[in-house]
Amino acid sequence: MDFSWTDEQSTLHEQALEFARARLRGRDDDDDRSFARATWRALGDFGALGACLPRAHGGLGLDALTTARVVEGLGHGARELGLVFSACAHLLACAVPVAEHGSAQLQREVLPALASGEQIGANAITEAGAGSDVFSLRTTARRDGDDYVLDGAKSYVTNGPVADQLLVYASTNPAHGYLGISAFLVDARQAGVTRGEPFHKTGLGSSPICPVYLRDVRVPGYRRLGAEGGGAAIFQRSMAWERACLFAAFVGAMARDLELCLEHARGRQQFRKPIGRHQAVAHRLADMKLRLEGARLLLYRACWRLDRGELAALDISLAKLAVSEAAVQSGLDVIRLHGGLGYMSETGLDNGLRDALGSLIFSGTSEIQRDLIARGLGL
Amino acid sequence: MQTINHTPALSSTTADRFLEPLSRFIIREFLHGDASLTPETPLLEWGVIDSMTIIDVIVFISEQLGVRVPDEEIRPDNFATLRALSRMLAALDDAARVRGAA
Ligand SMILES: Cc1cc2nc3c(=O)[nH]c(=O)nc-3n(C[C@H](O)[C@H](O)[C@H](O)COP(=O)(O)OP(=O)(O)OC[C@H]3O[C@@H](n4cnc5c(N)ncnc54)[C@H](O)[C@@H]3O)c2cc1C
Repeated sequence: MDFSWTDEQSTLHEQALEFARARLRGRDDDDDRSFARATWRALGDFGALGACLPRAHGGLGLDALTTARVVEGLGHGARELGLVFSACAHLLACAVPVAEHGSAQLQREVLPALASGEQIGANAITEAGAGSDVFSLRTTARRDGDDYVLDGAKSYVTNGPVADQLLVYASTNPAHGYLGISAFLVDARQAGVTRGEPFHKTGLGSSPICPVYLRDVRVPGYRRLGAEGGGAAIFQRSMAWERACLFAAFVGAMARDLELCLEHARGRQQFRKPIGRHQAVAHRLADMKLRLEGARLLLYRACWRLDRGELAALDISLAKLAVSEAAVQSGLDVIRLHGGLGYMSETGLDNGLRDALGSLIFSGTSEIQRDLIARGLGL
Repeated sequence: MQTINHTPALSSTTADRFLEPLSRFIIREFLHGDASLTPETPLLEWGVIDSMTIIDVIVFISEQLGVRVPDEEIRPDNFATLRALSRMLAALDDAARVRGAA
C-alpha cells in the first residue's frame, strides 16, 4: 500500500489551491451577481472543467484519484464552495456521462465546449415526486421517428439557470421501472425547455439552481446516452463519480477550517493564555484533525477503487457519508471556536457550515447512504 | 447471505449454465421462497429488478459467479428474464475466458 502522491498529483493540487485562493473568493468579487461567468471561464482555462475528460476532447485526461486531489485543492483555497460545486456538477454529472456513454457525434459536438467552459452542463433527474426514490421519476420520452419527445418537470437543477446542456433522465418504458429509464443530453435552447425562478439556498451561494420544465421537447436520437433503458445505470455511474470526486471539495474545506481554527486558537487569548492551551479547545482541534484525515482516507480509497474498475459502491457510500457528516461538524467547530465572531455573517466564518449542510442532501442523503452501506453488508 | 457453491469452470458450458444459481438467488432473496419463477418470467414487469435489488444481483454475480457486468450491459433486454440474464453472463464469461487465454 502506497499513500504517497505522484509529483504530477502534488503539482496539480498546489496549482488548484493557488488558483482558488486567487480567484474563488465568493460572489462579491465577480462581474455578474447571478453567475460568476468570468471566474467560470478561468476555471475552464485552468483545466478544472474538463479534468477527467479525455484529452482528445479538450480534457486533462485525469483519473478519479487525481481529479479528486485537484478538487480538494479548489475546496481548500475557495472562500465559498458554490462555484466548485457547480463545476463538479457540470463535469461529473453531465460531461463525464457524455464522455462515457455518448455517441461519437455528440461527444464531438459538446465535449470540447464543456471542457473549456464555453458551455455549461447540468444534470436533471430529481422531480417533485422523485427525490430519494429517484427512479420513480415521471418525465417521459416518447419515440417519434428518429427523435424522442420529452415531457416532464425537474425540480432542482444545479446550473439550471445558466446551463447550455441538460442531462435529462426520462422514462422510455414505464412498465420496465428501473430499466425503463433513458438518458438524453438536451440542448437547453431547444423549444419547449423553460426554467423556473432560481432558488435562494442556505449555502453554496455562487452555484445557481432552479426547476426546469420540458414540454414537447424534441431530442434527436443521437443525443440519447447509451442504450434505451440504460439511463439508470448511467446515473448510478455518474453518482459514483460525483460522490467520489465532488466531495473532495468538502475535504479541502475541512482542511481550511482546521487552519482557520488553529490560527485563532494560537492567537486569541482568554484567561491569560491562548485558547488553544485550554484542553477542551485543544481536544476540539484534535477531533477536527481526526475527522478530516478519516474522511480523506475513505474518499481517496473510494477513488482508487473506482480507477481500478472495481465495484466500489460500498466504499463510495462510506466516503460520501463520512465526508459530508464530518464537514458539517467541522463547520460547527469553526463557529464554536471563534465564539461571537463565528456567528457574525460579516466574517464569513459561517460559510463552511452553510455549504456543508447541502452535502447531507445532494448526491443521495445520509440516510440513503446508510441504506446502501447496510445493503453492502448483506442486510 | 448463503454462499452458493457454483464453479462455472466445472459446470456445463451451455449458454444457460448460470440459470440455476441465479434462479435460486432471486427466489431466496426477493421472492421469499416463491418458486413459481421460470426462465421466461418477465422480471421487469414483475418488479423484481429495481434500484436496490439490481445492486444485490450485480454483487452476487460478481462475487459468487465471478462475472463482471459492465455498465453498458445493464439494459432491459439483458435483465428481461432469467434466461436473458443467464445468457448475457455466459457471453461475458466466455469473452473473459478468451481474453484470459490469449
Ligand atoms: C444544493 C442542492 C443541489 C442539487 N442539485 C441537483 C441537481 O443538479 N440535479 C438533480 O436532479 N437534483 C439535484 N438536487 C436534488 C437532490 O438530489 C435531492 O434533494 C435529494 O436526492 C433528496 O431528495 P428530496 O429533496 O426529494 O428529499 P426526500 O427524498 O423527500 O427526503 C426527505 C427526507 O426523508 C429521508 N428519506 C427518504 N427516503 C428514505 C428512506 N428510504 N429511508 C430513510 N430515509 C429516507 C431523506 O433521507 C430525507 O431526510 C440538489 C439538491 C440540493 C440540496
